[in-house]
Amino acid sequence: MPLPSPLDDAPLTEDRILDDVRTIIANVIGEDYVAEIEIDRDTLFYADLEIESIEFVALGEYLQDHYGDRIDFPAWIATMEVDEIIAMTIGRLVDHIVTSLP
Amino acid sequence: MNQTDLIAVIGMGCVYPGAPDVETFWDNIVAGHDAIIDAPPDRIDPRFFAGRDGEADHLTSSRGGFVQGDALTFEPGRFGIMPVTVEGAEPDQMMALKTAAAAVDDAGGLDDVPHERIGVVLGRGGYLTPALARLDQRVRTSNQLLDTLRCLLPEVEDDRLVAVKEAFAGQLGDFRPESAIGLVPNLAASRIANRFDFGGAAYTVDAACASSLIAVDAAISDLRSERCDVVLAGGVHHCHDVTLWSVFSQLGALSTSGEIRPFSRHADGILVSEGTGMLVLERLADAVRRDHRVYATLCGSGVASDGRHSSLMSPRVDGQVLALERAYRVAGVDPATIGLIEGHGTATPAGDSAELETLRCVYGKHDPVDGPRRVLGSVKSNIGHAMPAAGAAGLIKSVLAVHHGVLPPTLHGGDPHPALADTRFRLIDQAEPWSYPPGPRRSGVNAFGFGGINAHVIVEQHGTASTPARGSRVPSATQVLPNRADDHSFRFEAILLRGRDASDLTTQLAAIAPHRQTDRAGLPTGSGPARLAIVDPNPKRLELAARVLAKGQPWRGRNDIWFEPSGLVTGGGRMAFLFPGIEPTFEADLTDVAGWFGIELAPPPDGATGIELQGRKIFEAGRLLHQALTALGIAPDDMAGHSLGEWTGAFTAELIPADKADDFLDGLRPGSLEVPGVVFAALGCGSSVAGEIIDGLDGVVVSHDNCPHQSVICGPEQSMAEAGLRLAARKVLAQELPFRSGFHTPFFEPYLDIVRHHWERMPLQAARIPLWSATTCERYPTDADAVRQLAADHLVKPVRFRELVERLYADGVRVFVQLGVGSLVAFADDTLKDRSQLSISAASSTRSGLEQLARVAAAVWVEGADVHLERLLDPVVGATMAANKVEPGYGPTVQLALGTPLVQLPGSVSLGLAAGALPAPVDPVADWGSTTSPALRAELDALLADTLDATKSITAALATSAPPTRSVGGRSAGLGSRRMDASTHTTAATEPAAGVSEEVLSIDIEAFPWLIDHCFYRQPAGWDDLSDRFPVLPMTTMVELLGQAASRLAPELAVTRIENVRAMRWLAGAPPTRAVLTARRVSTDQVDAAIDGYVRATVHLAPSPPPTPEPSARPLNNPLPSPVGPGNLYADHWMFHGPSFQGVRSIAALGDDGVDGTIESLPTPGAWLDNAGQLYGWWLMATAESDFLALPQSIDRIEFFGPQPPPGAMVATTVRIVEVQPRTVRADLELIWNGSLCVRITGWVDRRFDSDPPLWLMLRESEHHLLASPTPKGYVAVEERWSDSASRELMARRYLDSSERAVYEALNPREQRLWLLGRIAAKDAVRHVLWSEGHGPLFPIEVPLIDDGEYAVVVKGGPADGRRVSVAKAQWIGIAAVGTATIHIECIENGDRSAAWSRLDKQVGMAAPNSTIDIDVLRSPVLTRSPDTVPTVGADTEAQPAAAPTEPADPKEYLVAITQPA
Repeated sequence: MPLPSPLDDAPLTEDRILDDVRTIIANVIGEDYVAEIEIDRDTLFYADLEIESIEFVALGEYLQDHYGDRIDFPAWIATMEVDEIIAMTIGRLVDHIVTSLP
Repeated sequence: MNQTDLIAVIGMGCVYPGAPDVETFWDNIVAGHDAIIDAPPDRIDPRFFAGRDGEADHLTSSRGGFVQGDALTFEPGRFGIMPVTVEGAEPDQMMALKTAAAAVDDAGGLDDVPHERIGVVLGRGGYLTPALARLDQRVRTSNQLLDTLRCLLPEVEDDRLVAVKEAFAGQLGDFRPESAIGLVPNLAASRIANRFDFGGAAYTVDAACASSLIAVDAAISDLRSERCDVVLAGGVHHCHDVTLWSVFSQLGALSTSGEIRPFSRHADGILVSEGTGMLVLERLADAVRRDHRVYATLCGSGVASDGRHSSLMSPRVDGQVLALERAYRVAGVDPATIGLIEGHGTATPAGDSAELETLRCVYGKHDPVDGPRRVLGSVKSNIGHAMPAAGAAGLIKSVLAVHHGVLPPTLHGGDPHPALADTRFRLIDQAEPWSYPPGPRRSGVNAFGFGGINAHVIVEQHGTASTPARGSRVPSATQVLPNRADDHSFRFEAILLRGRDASDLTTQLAAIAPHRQTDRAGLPTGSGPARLAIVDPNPKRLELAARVLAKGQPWRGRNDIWFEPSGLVTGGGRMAFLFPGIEPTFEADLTDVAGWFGIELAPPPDGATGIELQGRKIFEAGRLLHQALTALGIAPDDMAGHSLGEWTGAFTAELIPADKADDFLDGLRPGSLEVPGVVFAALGCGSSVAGEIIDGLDGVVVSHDNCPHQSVICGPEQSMAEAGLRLAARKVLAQELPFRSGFHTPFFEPYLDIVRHHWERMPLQAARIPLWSATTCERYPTDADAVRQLAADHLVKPVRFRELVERLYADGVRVFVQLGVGSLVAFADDTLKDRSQLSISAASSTRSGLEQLARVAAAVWVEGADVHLERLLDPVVGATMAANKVEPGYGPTVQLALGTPLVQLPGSVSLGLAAGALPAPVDPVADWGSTTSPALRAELDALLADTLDATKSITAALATSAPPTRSVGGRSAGLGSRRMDASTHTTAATEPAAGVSEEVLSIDIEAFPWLIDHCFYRQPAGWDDLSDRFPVLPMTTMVELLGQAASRLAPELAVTRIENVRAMRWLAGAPPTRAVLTARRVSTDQVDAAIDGYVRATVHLAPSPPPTPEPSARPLNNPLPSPVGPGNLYADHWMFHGPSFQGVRSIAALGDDGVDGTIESLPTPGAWLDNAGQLYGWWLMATAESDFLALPQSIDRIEFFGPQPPPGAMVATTVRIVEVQPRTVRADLELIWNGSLCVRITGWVDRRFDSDPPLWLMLRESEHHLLASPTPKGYVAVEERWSDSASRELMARRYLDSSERAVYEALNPREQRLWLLGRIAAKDAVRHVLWSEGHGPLFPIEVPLIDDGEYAVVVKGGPADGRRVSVAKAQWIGIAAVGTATIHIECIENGDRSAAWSRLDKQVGMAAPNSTIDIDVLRSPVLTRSPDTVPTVGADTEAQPAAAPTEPADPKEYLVAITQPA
C-alpha cells in the first residue's frame, strides 16, 4: 500500500501522521487485518495488533523510509523497558513522530 | 465491633472432597469443580443402594462428597503417635490433627504466641463415627450373630458357634484396650492441644450443621474476653455411616438427582459430604503487632435459636433473621455493604425457601439504584454438605473470596429458585472480580442447624488495598480468573464451523452466535471446505468474525479467529514442526498439558541452573508438545530446528532413539558449554546488512540468518563494542544475548571434539519424520557417519534459518508449528511475508499450555487438518500416570480408614456340619393354611421339594463348611432355576438338579439383538445372510452369563471372583446356536459353570465384595500417545465392534508394556470388560510388527470389588502386558472408577492370529484391498500366510459365503488349504479386474463362485456374473487369471518361497510354448501356451519372445511345473 509522499503539499498534521502510521501498519501486518481492526490513538501495538518484535523492526524501517533520518525508531525503542513496549499505543508513536519532526 | 475488637484470620487448613489443602480447595471453587462422586464401595456397601424406597436400610442416593486418596494419608511419626494407636482411634482425630498442623504452619508456626494462651474449639457431631461403628460390630453385632446361630442351630456345639463369633470379631482387627481412649469424641480437639502443648480451652461443640460457626463464635468470645490470645476454630466431620445416610434417606432429604443444587429451582435435596476445616484466629491488634499475615477479619458474629418454633424439616425464618441481625449489630455494619453471602444452601426446597426469605428480610429487595445485585452462593454445590464441618468450609471460602477480591461461582444454579428474584442477590456460574459495593469487601456466612440453631459470621477485608495480603502464596485475582495453568481449569471454548463457503458460514454463525458466546466448545458442525474457528468467543470476536467472513479472505489468528475458504492443508500443503533453540527466557508452563494428556513431565536434572536448566526445559517442552500434538492428531510432514532445537528434532524424529535422549543431554549438558570472551548480539536487520556492518571487524561473524529483519552476530568483546557503534550509526536495533557458547561460529572449533565424541557414542537410526538441517538447508543424511559430520558442522557453521524456511516453503510446507516458546513463528512470518502460510506457536508465555494448544488445534483444523478436537473437551489422563509423587516424610504413613465395611467371615470358618445334619427348612406351606389356592399349593409343594433336594445336595457337596445361611441358600437355588426357566430366551433342557442348574441357551439375534454389533466381518450394506457376518458372543459376555448362572444358584451371595476362564470355540448367533449352560455349586462359595463345549470358568461368591485394594499398575514404560484415537479405532475398523460395544473413550498412552485409557461403562452385557479387552487388543495392534489380531482365549482370574459402574460411567483402565509369545499375549488389567478399583483381571491371555500387514489390511478393509498380489502379467497370486487352522479359519470366513463354507467344511484339511487358496486367488483376480474397469468397493463375498472343471471357476451372481477365471493352486500358492487360459501348477518346491516364486513367475511370462525349461533345480517343467487364447493375460503377450513357432500341445493350457530338488 503506497504511502502519500511526505513531500506533497499537505502539512504534516497529527491526523496526517496517524493516517501514515495506519498505512505503515497495514504494510507490516497485512492490509486485510488492518481493514477489519479499528486503529486509533488508543490501539495497543502488542495486545490489539499483536505486533511482535520482528514486526517492530519492519515498522522502524518503514518509518525511516517515510520520514527519513529525523526518526530514529531503534534508538527510541532502545530507551524503553519491555513493559513499556508492551504498553505502547499508536498515539505514543504518533506523538514521538510529531516531536521528532521539525 | 470497633477496630480493636476485630478478629483476624491468620491461618487456615482444610481437607474437603477433592481438596487435600486450602490452596486446592480455593482453586476448585474458583474453577467450579464438582467433587461429588458415586460412593466408593469400600465406604458404603453398594447393597444399600439396591433396596426399595421406604426401607430403613435403603439409601435413596449413592452420591456424595468423599475425601479420598492422598488426603487420607497420615504420618503418625510426625505427631508423635504410634501407628497402632491410629488404627484404633477415630480417624477424624487424625484428620483434625493434620489439618491443625497445616493451619498452624499457615499462620507462621505460632512460635511467637504463648502456647498456654492458645485454645481449640471444633464443631463435631455425635454420630456413629467409623471407629465407634467398628466397636459396635465387635461388641454388639458379634453377640447378636452368636445368638442368631444358637437359635437356628441348636444341635451344633456351642464352641463352634462361639468360634464363628470370634472369627467375626477377628475380622475387625486386633482389639487393644489401650486404644479405647481413641474413641472418645472430644479428642478431636484435645489431641491438638496435646500435640501442640496448647493451654487454652480445647473442646468440641455440637450444634448440628451450625457447629463450625458456633465454634467460631465461641472462639471470638474467648479472644474478645482475652481468655485466649489465639484460637483454632472450625469443624470436623468424617462419618459416612450408613445410619446417618439412612436418616437422610428416610427424611427424603437426599437428592435423588445426584446433584446438589443450592438455590436452584430444581434443588431436590442434599448430598452428604465430609471434611475438616480450621481457621487460626487472633485479635487483629495482636496480629498486627506480631506481624502475622492477615487474610481477612471477622467483624461480627451472631447466634440465635428458633425457640419453641423449631421443626426439623421446616426451618424458621425468625430465628435465622435474629442471628443475622445480631451479627450486624455486633459488627456495626450496614447489611447493604455486603458483597457476597455464603449461604447455608442445603438445596432442600424448604431450607432454600426459608433462607431466601431470611435474606430478603435482612438485606431487602434488589434496587437498581444501589448497583448490581450482590452474589449469593454455597460451597455445598462443590463438595456437598459436610454437616458440622460445613460452616468451616463456607467460612474459609468467604475469607479467601474477600482476601482475593474474587466472587466465586456456585454450581448447578442455572435456573434459580423463584424467590431469589425477591432478594438483593444473584447466583453466578463463573468467578467474577469483586467490584461492588464500594468500600471494604464484606461477606456474610450462614450456617443453620437442625433443631433450630442459627449462626452468622461477617468477614471483612483487611486493609484497604485490593492487593493480596503480604506473604500470600495464592495467586492474585487477575491471575486466578482467566485461564489458570492448573489442571482441570481448562475449558475448550470455541465455535468451529464448516460450510460451503464464507456466506454459508455467515448464515451458520448468525444462527448460533446469540447462544454460543460463552458455551463450551461443541465439536465442528456442518460440512464443506470453508472453515471458521473462534476460540474463547465473545461479542467482539463474533462481530469481527462476521466481518472477516463478509470479506471472504483467509484470516489467520489475529483476535483468536481463523478462517479459510479452502485451507492450506486441504490444498496439499505440508506441515512442519519447528523446534526452537535456547532463548533468553522460558516462561511457558506446560504442566496442564502434561496432566491433560497423561504425559509424565520429566523434572530437570539435579544441579542444572541458568541456561542449562533453560535448555532442558526447552527440550522437555518440545518432546511434551510433540506428544500432545500427536494425541490431537496433529502430525508433521517435516521437522526442523533452530540451533540446538535441531537436537530436540533429532529426538522427536527418532534420529537419536528416544530412550537415548537423556543420555545425550546428560553427557553433553549443552548449557554448560561456554567459549570465554565471545559475545552474541541479535540485530534488527537481515544478514546481508549485518555482513556490511561487521565488514572488516576482527573476528566478528554472522552466526544466524534468522529472517529478513533479524540476524545474529558473534565476536570477541572488543570487536563487538565497535560493532555496537556502527549499528547505532546505521540505526539498527541490537541486543546482546545472554549466551557465550560460541555455537555456530568458528570460535567453537576447539570444543568440537567433545561433541563429536559424544555423537559417536550415540546409536543413530533413520529419522521417522524427515528432519531438516539449517546448516545445509537439506534433509538430514541417512548415513550415520554423515549425520555425525553434520552434527559437528552444525556447531561451527551459521544457522541459515531464513533460507531453510524458504526451502521448506518451496518444498510445499504451508503450516509451521513451533513446539515451544521462541521467535520461530515470527521468523517464518517475516521470511514468508505476504505468502499464504500459517505459523503458530504451540506454547505461549502469556497463556496456559492448554489454552495455547487449543488455538493450535483450531488453527490447524481450519487449514483442513483432521484434528481430534474432542480430546480438548476432557482430559485424556491415565489413572496411574500421576502416581509417583514422593514427598519428604516422617517415616511410615497410615491410610486413615474412613469406611466401616460389613464383616466377611474368613473361608476357614466352619461349623463342621456333616451331610444331612441341617434341619429341614420351616415348611412355609403349613402357615399358609386355607388361604392358599390348590394351584398355588401345588406350585409351592414342587418348590419345596426342589428346595429340600437342593439343600441336601449342597450339604452333601460341602466337604468342610456350611455357614448358617445354608438353608436359605438352598431354597434360593431352586427358585433361581425356576426364574431362569421363565426367561424369554432360555428353555429348560432338564429338570434342574439340586445345587445344579442347567439351561439351554438359544443364541440368536432375537434373544441377543446387540449381537449385530459384535460381528467379526463387515459385509456389503444390506447383506442378508447374517451368518456371513459371523456374530459371536464376546468371551466377556459368556463370562457374564456364567456369573449370572452362579448368582442364581446362590442369590444371597455376590460374585467376587471368576477364575480359570477358558474359551474353547466361537459361540455364534447366526445360524442360531443352542448351547447348554450348566452351573454346579461345588461348595458354599464356589460354582463351576460352563457353556458346554464353548467356555468354562469357576465362579467364587461371598456375602459382600472384598475390601477394595489400591490400584497397583506400575507407570507405563516409555509412554507415547496412541497413533489412533478412540473414535478412529471403530471408524477405521481397527475394531470390528458396532455401537453397543464401542466403549473405548480415550487412549491416554501406549507404553512398551501396556496401555492406559478410559472406557465407558456400557449397558450391553459383557461390553465393559470387552472394551477393556479392546484396549488390550489395541496395544498389540499398535505395537506388534505382525500377527496384530488377537482375541481372548483365557483368563486366570477376574476379581470384582463392586458392581459394574452405572451406564455412562467413565472407567479408567490400565493394561499391563506380562508376556508376549509368538502365539499368545498375557496381560493384567485394572478397571478404576472414581479412583477406586472395581475390577482386577489377572492373566488375561489373548490368542494371536497370523496377520502380516497386507493380510491385516485385508481383514479390516476388505472391500478395498486384495490379499492376492496382481502381477504385471495379468494374473494374481496369493501365498498362504497362515500357519495354523484357526488363522486360516479367520481368512476363510473373510472370503467365503455360507454356501462356499459348506463346500469348504466338507473337505479334509489338506484339501481345504488348497481350495481356499484357489478361491482367494480367483475372487481377487475378479475384484482386481473389476476395479481396473472402474468398479467401486467390492467385498470378496460379492464374487460367488462355482467350479468349472478342475482348473477354472465361474462367477455366479453379483457384478461379475458370468466371468470365467482360470485357477491353479499348489502347496502354498494360488494363481488365478480372469479369462479362458488354463494355469496348472504341478508342484512348488518347499524351502525359500521367494526364490521359488520368482522362478515360477519367470516361467509364466517368459517360457516359449512347448519349450523345456531348465532353471536351476527344475527338471522337467513344461509350459505350453497359445497367446491368442489368453487375451486377458495381456501383459504376457508383449513379454513373449517373438519367435515361438512351435505347435501348442493344448492351446488352452498353461502348464507350469516345477519339481522339487532331489
